[in-house]
Amino acid sequence: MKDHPVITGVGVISALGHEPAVLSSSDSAIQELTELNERQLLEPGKGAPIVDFEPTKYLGERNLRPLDRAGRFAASAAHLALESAGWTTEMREVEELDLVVGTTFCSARTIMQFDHTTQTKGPKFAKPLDFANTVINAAGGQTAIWQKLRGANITVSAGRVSSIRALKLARHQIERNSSAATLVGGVEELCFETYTAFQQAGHKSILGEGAAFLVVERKDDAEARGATIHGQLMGCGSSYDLSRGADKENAEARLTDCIDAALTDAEIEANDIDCISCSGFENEALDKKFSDAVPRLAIGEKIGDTLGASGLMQTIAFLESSGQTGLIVSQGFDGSSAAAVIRAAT
Amino acid sequence: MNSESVVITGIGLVTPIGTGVDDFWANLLAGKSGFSEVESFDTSAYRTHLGGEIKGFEFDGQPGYGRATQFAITATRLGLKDAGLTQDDLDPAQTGVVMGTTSGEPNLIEQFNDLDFDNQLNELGDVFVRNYPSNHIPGFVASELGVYGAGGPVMLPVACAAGNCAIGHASDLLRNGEADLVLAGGSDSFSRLTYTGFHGLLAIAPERCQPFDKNRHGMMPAEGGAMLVLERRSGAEARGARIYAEVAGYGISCDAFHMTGSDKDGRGASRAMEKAFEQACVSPDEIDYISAHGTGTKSNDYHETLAAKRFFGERAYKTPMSSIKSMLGHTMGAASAIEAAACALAITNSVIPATQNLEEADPDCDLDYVPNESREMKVNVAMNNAYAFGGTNASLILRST
Repeated sequence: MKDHPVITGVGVISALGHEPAVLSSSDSAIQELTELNERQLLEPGKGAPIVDFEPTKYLGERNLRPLDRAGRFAASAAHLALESAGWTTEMREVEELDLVVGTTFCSARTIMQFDHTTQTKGPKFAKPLDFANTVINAAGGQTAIWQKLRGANITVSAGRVSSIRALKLARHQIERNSSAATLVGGVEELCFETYTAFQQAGHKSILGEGAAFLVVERKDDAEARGATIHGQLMGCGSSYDLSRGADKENAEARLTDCIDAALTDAEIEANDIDCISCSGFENEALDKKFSDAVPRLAIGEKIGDTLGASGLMQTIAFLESSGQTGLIVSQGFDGSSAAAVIRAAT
Repeated sequence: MNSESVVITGIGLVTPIGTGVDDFWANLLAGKSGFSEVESFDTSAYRTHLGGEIKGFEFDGQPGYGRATQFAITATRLGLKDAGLTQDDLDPAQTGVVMGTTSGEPNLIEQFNDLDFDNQLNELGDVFVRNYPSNHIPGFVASELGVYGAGGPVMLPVACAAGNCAIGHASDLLRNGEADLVLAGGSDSFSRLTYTGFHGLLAIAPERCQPFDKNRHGMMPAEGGAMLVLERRSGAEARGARIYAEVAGYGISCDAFHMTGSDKDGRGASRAMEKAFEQACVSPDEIDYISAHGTGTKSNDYHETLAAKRFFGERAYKTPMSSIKSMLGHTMGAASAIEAAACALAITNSVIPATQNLEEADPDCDLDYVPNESREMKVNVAMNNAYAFGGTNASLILRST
């Protein structure tokens, strides 16, 4: 029998608020946008920026200058997850925790602005402190520094499915006995640049931002230290559509493959699923595979498409629901699909 | 997890000192320098003007790909050919792609900003969304080959340690039976953004990259791509493949100290080495060669030496440790994949590449860095170390078969 790892900690920074329960709210954070980062948008539209966020509440009254927006989201959500899991700072001084972070762009604004400054003012004006945050693993690095995480530190980039792929990789780390526990998360920021890029590309997504983190560890270890178990990771699957979305049939077939892989890995059948938490781009494939009676959660309709963070936002939305055996599923705009089966704690 | 060993059967390289494994290896042993005047952007406002650009690179493929993607696809084709494989030999559902990068396609950032500067963002179209997210690079490689195994292509953008992380993860996928063959490597292109960043840190050497030298002045930004063909040993032997080396183990740690600097006592780097040896079931006493991260900065080379001494003890003084960045420069996300390839070649050919430009010993860097001339010696166990922005340390152990 497989030893399925368990979820012992949950942390979220979202446009609806910064505790897991907000993801079961009926509220919506989507609003009309005419500007972002104090710049007029080329075309006004909708989005879900986080407007109420005070990182010192989670990271302490310290100099947060080294952290940019994505870094603050990630480090704060990680703090909440670790706190929720009971992994104290003192424990992390002794035990190594791995960190796996999913993201599409990471610090998109910092990267753009760094080059913009170089171009408009010259290289001498580009700040070294900002350069450190231009690497795609910046949020992962900053989170490790701020949360004292000395195990493996890996960033996964797979577009919209990044954080579900991160969850899959986190399970690999646990199977390798890499560390005492793995903190796995997803982070994305909404900025003028990414909004403009998606708008100009004609994408239909209403973009959001935020970070979602889970602490995942071996069940025996969690029980031995008396941790609260929120759920269990029963299976994972992922796939790739070579047409990258251009061939609708192929895209649907690959998504179905991905779901089947997750179900097989979890050793369950489709009719064992009693709740689906999706990104909203998978409905046709889901309609063919699952009964109408199975409730579908689409948290992106309330907090926007949080891209690399969306998979774990969907996971937390499921954990906050009344579902028992959930399918978390996402299909990206680049051909990637990923799914996870989560069993909620009884 | 399957305990069967994972082996390297093909190597594809696009580097500042040569494209293809034969050119690369010959030039590496000859000590060829890959540095020249930067041509891709105007460096007149910079203190330094040299870099490791791949001059004259022409991509044989469909237009529209970014430069890092072009390197990745080219390296893939070369790697498969080196492995004695064609695209038709690949089972699409059993072939995976795992890559690493630091910046993905930063030229697209520059393109966005250039349009913004000219108030022409309404002409951006879909080029940014279609090409910039870094996972598009392995995605395009997968699409070129028609492969979708191991759950689909994935990018591990772990900066300068990315190649080792990609190779390590690929070996896990093979041991787990999630694929029969995985293409693992890294790619990064030269960019104004990266060059400016290191320039601002005062980290770029004005003339040469001199790892471990007393008078070293820094690193040399460069570009490149590498793709290694990894298979389970049984599959490689069944098809009569030439085997370079076994991927025996890997270890990853994080300093959790500083975004661009190493922890003070080498603890994090030492821990990555320890994990790698544990997974490889190899004693540190068996180490024959260490491929250093060896960027040529005061800080890295000092702390890397410290970490080697911390982990290996007296053995560190008896183990040759060289930095090929002395010739290639720092190819960012491609670096540790290229250096892993160099380790595999060292094992196969029983020759260790030198650290070039090492003229005066630094009392704080007092190990055997194989100064200036490559050295013939039997290599059974090689370790490739890589240290990244964000504090990730990744060590990879290769072993002769």
